Amino acid sequence: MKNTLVIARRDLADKRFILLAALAFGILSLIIPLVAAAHGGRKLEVMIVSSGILATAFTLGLAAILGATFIGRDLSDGRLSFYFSKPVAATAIWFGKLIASSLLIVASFFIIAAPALLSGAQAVKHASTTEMGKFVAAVLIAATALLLVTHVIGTFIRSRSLLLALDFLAAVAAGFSLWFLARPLILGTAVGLLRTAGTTLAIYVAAAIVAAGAWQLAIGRTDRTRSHFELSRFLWSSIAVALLIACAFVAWVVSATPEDLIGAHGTQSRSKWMFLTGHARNRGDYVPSFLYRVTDGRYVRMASFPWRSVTFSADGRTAAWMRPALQNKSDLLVARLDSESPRPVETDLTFPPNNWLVLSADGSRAAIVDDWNTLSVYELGSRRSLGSIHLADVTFAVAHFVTPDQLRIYARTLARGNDQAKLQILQYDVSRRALRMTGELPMRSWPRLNSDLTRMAIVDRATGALQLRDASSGSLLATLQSSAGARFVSFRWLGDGSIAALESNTSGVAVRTFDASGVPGPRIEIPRYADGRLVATLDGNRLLVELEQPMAIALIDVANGKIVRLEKDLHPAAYSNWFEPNFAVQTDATLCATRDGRLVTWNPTTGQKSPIRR
Amino acid sequence: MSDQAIEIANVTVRYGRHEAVDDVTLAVPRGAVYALLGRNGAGKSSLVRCLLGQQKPAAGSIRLFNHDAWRERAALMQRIGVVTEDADAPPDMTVAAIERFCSALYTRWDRNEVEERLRRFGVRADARFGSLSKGEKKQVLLALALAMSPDLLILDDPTLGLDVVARKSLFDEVIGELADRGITVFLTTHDLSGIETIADRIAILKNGRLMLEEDLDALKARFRRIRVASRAVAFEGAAAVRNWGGGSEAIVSNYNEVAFAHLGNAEVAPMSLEEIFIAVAGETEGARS
Repeated sequence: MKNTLVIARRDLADKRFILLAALAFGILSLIIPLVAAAHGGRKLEVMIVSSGILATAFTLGLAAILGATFIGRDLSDGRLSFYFSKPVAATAIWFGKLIASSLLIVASFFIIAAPALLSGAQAVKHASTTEMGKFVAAVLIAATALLLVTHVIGTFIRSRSLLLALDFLAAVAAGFSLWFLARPLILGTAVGLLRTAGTTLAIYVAAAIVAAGAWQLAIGRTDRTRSHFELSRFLWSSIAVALLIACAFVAWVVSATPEDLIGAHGTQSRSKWMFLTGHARNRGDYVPSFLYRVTDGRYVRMASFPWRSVTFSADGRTAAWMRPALQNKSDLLVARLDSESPRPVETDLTFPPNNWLVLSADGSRAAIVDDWNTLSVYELGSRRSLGSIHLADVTFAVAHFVTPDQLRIYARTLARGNDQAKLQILQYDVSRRALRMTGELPMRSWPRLNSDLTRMAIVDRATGALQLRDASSGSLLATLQSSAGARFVSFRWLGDGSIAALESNTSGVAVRTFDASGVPGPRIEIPRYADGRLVATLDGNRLLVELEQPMAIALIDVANGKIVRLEKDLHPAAYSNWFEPNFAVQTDATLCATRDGRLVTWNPTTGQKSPIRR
Repeated sequence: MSDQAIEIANVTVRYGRHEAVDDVTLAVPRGAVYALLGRNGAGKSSLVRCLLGQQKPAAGSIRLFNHDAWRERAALMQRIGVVTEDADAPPDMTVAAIERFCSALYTRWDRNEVEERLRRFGVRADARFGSLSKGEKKQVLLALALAMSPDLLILDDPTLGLDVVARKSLFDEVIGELADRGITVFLTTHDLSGIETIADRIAILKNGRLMLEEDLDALKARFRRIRVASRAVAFEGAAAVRNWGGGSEAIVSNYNEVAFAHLGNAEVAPMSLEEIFIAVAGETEGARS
C-alpha cells in the first residue's frame, strides 16, 4: 500500500500542471458572464452553465487523455522499466497510477465546477439540488468509464500488434452477444431488469478492466506486445464469463412457465386456447407471454410481450399478434392452434406501430390498422397484400371481418371546431378495394358488437342509457334505461341476441336482462358487493360476473334469474378486449386468480378449483 | 545457501520465431565481477531483462540469491541496483525528485551518499533528468543504484554513448564500490578495455548462444597470437589462421608452451580481451543486428 501511494504521489506531482489548467478554466467560467454579449442579464445563470459545460468538457477530455497515456505512454516509451527495476509490485504501479489519474480527474472537475456547485442549483431555472447531484455523478461516472476504456484502447493500439484484429472481433462478438441477451428482455418489457443487469454488467466490466490492468502489468510488465496480449486475455475472458453468466440468467428469466405467473391476465378464444401474460415469480418486471390451453395446461411460449394483445380467429384455430421490432416497427406472427404442436410462425410481414389487428373468421386473412390510420389486408398463407387504404380524418379505428372479403370499420373522426367527434361506420370491399361509409353517429363511446356482427351496443355517456343499434348503419333500435338511482357499469350480448347489463347503486349491484327488442327481463340482485363487471357469457344463457369489494366471482343463470354459484376470493384472469366479439371462456375450466395472485382453473358448474398445470 | 548470486539455467527467450537467447546456462558467484559480452543483437539485453524479472523466458529458470527472478522480482529489487541501457527515468523529474521517489521505496537508502556521488560527477540535483547528457544520466542512475547498498549491481551497457572521461569515471566508481563493499557485479558492455581490469569472469554471447564462459585470467592465458615465418605450418586448435607477410598467423585458444614448443622460433603474443572477443564473436556469418 505504501508503494502504491508513493507511485500515486509521484504521478500527481508529475502532472500537477493539470490542476493549474483546471484552475484557469474555473476562472474562465467566472469571466464569461462578464462579457456583455454573453450574459443577457442573467450573469449568475450564465456563470453556472458555463462552469458546468467547461467542467464536463475538461473532465471528459482529461479522462480520455489520461486513460490513453497513464500506462500506455510509459509502456511504449520504454519507461515502465524504471518502475520495474524498483522493489515495487506490478499492482502498486497500476493502482498508484490509476489512483493518481482518478484524483486528477475528480479534482479538476470540482475545481472548474466549483462556481456552479457553490452557487447552488436554485440559481438555475428548472434545476434542483438532486439534479445537480445527478449531473455530478453522471460526469464522474462517464469520466471513469472513459479513463478505463481509453486505457484499454490505448494499450491495444500502442502495441501495434495483429492482436488488434482479434480484439476487434472479440468486441464485435461481445456487442452481438449483448444484443442477443438484451433482446428477450426487451421483448418481455423487462426494462427494470435490463437496467439492473446492464448496471451490474457495466460495474463488472469496469472492475474487470481494473483487474485486467493489474494483470497486464503483473504478467506483461515492460513488454508492450505481451502487455497487450495479457490485457486482452484477461479482459475478454472476464467478459466471456460475464456473458455466460448473463446468458444463464437470461435463459432462466425467459424460462418462466405459466405456473410462475403472478397476477396474470389474458384473453380467451372460442377454442380452449387463451393468451396469458403477467409478471413471473422472482423475475422482476419481465413479462412472459403464452398461448395457454386451459383444459390441459399445454402452452406455447411467445418469446415477446405482444404489441397490444393477441387476436384469435372466430373459429378459435388461429392466433395472431404483433412483436415489437427495430426502427419502431412490428412483426406479425401467427400460430395455428389446431396443429399437433402449435408454435409462433414468422410471417415476414412488418408494419408500423399499429392499433388494431384482426383475423378473418377462418384465420386465413389479417387486417391491420396502423398508427397512420392505414388499413391493410393480407392473406396469411401467401403473405400477399390484398388491399390497403388510408382512412382520412380518423383518430382511431378498429375493423372486423364480416366475411373474408368484407371488412367493417368503426372509426372515430376528428372533432372540428365545435363539432363533436363522430363514429363512422365504413365498409371495405377487399376484392374491389373499395371503401364506403354505411353509417355515422355522434361518438358517445366505443360500441360492443354481438358475435355475428349484426348489432352493437353503446353506452350514452351523457344519459347513462344503453343504446342498441344496427351494427352496419348505426341506426337506433332501442334505448335501455338503468333502474332508478343506478347506472350501467358493464354489459354483454347473450346467445339469443338479448343483452345483459350490470348496474350498480349504493346498495350493491344487479344484473338486468333485455330481450332483442330491448324489453326488460328479470333483475337479479347481488347484494353486498360495491362494484363488478360482466366477464363472459357461458353457453348463451349463463353469465360470469366479477364482483369487487369484496372480491368474488359469480355464475348467474339468466333464464332462471338465479345466482348459481358465488366463489369468494377469486377473480377471472381473462378479460375481453372492449371491441372483441370473439371472446369466450371455457365452461368447464375458466382461468381465475386467487387473492394472492395464484392461477387456478375453476369449473363454474361444479365449483371445483385446480392449480394450473405446466 | 547457494554461493551463486545468479544462476541462469537453460534460458531461452523468443520473439515470435526468433530465438534471441538460446538455451543459455551460466552462474555468477557472489562477489564476482561478471561481464557478459556480445555484439549488438547477441541477446544480452534480453537476458538482462529476464534477470531483472521484467521478461519471462520462454524456457529455463533464473534465480538471484536463490530466489526466482520472475516471481520474486519486487522483493529481490531491494537487493539489486540497476543501471539500464536506456536511461529510463521520467524526463520531467528532477534528479532530486527521482532520488526522493527512490528513497521512499527502499528499506536501505543513503541520501548523503547519493548527494556526494552526484557532486563528484558534477550533476546538479535540480536539473531535469531529460535535460542531462547521456553520461550524466548514467551517472545519476549509478548513484541511485549504489545508494541502497546493493548485493548485486546489474549494469546493462553502462558506458554506451559515453565519452572517454565519463566512461572512466563510471568504471572508477564501480571499482571503488567493489573495493569498498565486495558486491557482485553483472554487466554487459561493448567497452572491453574498460572491464579488462575489473572483470573476474567473462561470458560471450553470439546469436543468442553462449560461446564461452570462464575466468578472465584463464581465458587470456589460453588465447595467443602465433606468427611463424612459414606458411606450411599446422596449428592445432587454431581459432583463425591467415597469411601474414611471408608466413602465417594463427590465433589459438588452447595455448600452452609445451604443446606449441615444436614451432621453435614462432612469435607468440598474448591477446587483449578485445582481440579475443573479435576472434570468438567477430565472425559476421550468422550475425544478427
